[in-house]
Amino acid sequence: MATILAIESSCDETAVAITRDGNLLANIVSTQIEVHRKYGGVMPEIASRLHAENIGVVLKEALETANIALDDIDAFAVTRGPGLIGALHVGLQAAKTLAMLYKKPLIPVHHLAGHIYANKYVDNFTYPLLAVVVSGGNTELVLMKDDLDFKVIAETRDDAIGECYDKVARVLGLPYPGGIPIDKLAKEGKHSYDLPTPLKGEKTLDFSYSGLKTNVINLVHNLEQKGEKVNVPDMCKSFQDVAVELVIDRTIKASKLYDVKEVILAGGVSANSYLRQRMTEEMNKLNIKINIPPMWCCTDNASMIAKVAEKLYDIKLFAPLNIGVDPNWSIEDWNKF
Amino acid sequence: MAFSKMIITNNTEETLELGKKLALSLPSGSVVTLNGELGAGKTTLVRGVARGLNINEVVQSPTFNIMKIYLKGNRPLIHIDAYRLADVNSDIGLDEYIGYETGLTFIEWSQYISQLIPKNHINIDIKCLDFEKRELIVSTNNEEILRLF
Amino acid sequence: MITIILDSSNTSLSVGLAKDNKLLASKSYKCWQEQSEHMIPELDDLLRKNNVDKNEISEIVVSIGPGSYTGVRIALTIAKVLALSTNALVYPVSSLRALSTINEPSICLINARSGRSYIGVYDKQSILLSDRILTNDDVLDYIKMNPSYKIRGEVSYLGFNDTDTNVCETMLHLKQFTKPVDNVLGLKPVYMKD
Repeated sequence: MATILAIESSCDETAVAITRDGNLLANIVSTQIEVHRKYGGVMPEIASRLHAENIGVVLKEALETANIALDDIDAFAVTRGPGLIGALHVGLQAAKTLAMLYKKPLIPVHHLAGHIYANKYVDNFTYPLLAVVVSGGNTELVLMKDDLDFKVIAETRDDAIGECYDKVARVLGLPYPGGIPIDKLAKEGKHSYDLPTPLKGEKTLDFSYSGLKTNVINLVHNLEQKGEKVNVPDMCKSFQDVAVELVIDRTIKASKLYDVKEVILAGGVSANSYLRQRMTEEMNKLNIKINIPPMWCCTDNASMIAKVAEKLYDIKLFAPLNIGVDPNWSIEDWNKF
Repeated sequence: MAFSKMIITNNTEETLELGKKLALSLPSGSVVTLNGELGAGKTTLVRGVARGLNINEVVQSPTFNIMKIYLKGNRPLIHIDAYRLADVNSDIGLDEYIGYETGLTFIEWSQYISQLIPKNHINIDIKCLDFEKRELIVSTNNEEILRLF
Repeated sequence: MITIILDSSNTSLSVGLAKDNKLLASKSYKCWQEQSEHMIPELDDLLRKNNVDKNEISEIVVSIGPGSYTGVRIALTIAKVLALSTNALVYPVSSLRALSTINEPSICLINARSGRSYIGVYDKQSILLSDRILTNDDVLDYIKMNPSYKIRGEVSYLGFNDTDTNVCETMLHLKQFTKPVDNVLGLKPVYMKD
């Protein structure tokens, strides 16, 4: 075991965490959500600027909170990808500088592996497990037969679920990020609008949200053109039902196909209460262990990066100082850089 | 624009093939603006381009990220979606990537960043003729480019 | 007293090492879109080859823009983290001024794209034209009106020959006219377009 300092800057949160022998000594997150809200979503250039502004301050705060000196760190870990290219650069430079100065190993970590491993703060894993990764930028099913064994068995053909939520929210005049207001309003609505199920009739584990998004947008426009008022809670409920059921359907099918013992929800959209409720219901029916992350784990943070880094430190997966970022890094290539 | 040509694709596969053809023949530094309603097939065309450039990574809609950059193919591919930039006036830093000298740039909803689009670019308007069929109108000031189609 | 010099504001990278205000070693080369990969290995190499321990680093000179947004942030992030670790003083300099040759009036240029350039004009200790963006037409007019001034920077996009100056030497020289920053961690790049 070791003392790890991890840096995460793949999207709109600048985060640094310090762990020692698996214990979290500091978990600092500087979020930019408020800034991006007025743009209806993350603005990559603004995100990059804010990362560059905040990285020093966040690092300093993490060290002070953990009451630890840089000399005491055994390895420096950083999210190498996937994410926004300009944002990733900032975290990588910071980590490289530290690794170089203190002559300690540099550990490159995959962002989605981080989301999956965040759940290890809750409970140990039982294999084979199915990780349902749902976020603004990703929607995929990852099968793990063992520690650090990742196989993508399904992914979206077009939009990620989180992105779909954001777009639907925008059309309904709701704030960004869309998941929260839609989830809330859906509780007050009824499934009164008819929205077709994506990829219906196709024998596939794939996801697709582009069509659903288009259907909601077209429906809203048609209603507005006819002078009819859109019942927003009902639209939220109707949309959410379809969006979430697709995830549930694929999870059930994949769980049976691969005979999994545990299902993990991971990524920002795992904060969605309806998804959490439905997933728990279905997995309980199938007697499959369900691991739902606590809220603080759902959003981007560096403690999840540190969790993966601890394991990578044990197997000595270190990177040379000349690595670059990979905004499209696939989880299956977690050890290739 | 001075020159234009119409192409019909009968299904997704044909749109992908057209994209592949673009990838193999467009000169580096080319900027292509894609117009069409949601679902017209803009991203599908870019998927075809990715195929032609030997990019194995999945090409997803860049609406969330605004820009996606693929660097592991034969040439870099920049895929921009300016949909979210409709009301944005501040500097968005995209000009370092538009017209990336060694690769190809494809831009959806380019009307929202018209000030960043170079004069010499290619424009493709995509229209749905029915569920599968698409009509693509390619326009450019450079007649040479149209011979590629 | 050890000074580290860093620049990645355009298509090259420059890394330098000075001892008691004399440039010991430096490296500078074209590295477009790859500064993120190479800056730290080059700095590491410099420190090792010259037997410099991190505890000896007391000053950092870094170019803060204008220029490539990604590029400027790379050098600046390195500078901030270096400063956090070593408590070194940080001297921010203009990336345009870093291109000037010390004893000649220099028109320093960086491609700002979309038909524009970042321009700054310097002569010894004077600033003849403070850093700004102009259209390339205006830049060419300025150049015509000042034929004795030397054109500095990667200027092939304007139809001139690129000039090679020792950026590290210039930045070290500029340190003497620069105040070290009070709030290093809050240091922001100069973006200029907004």
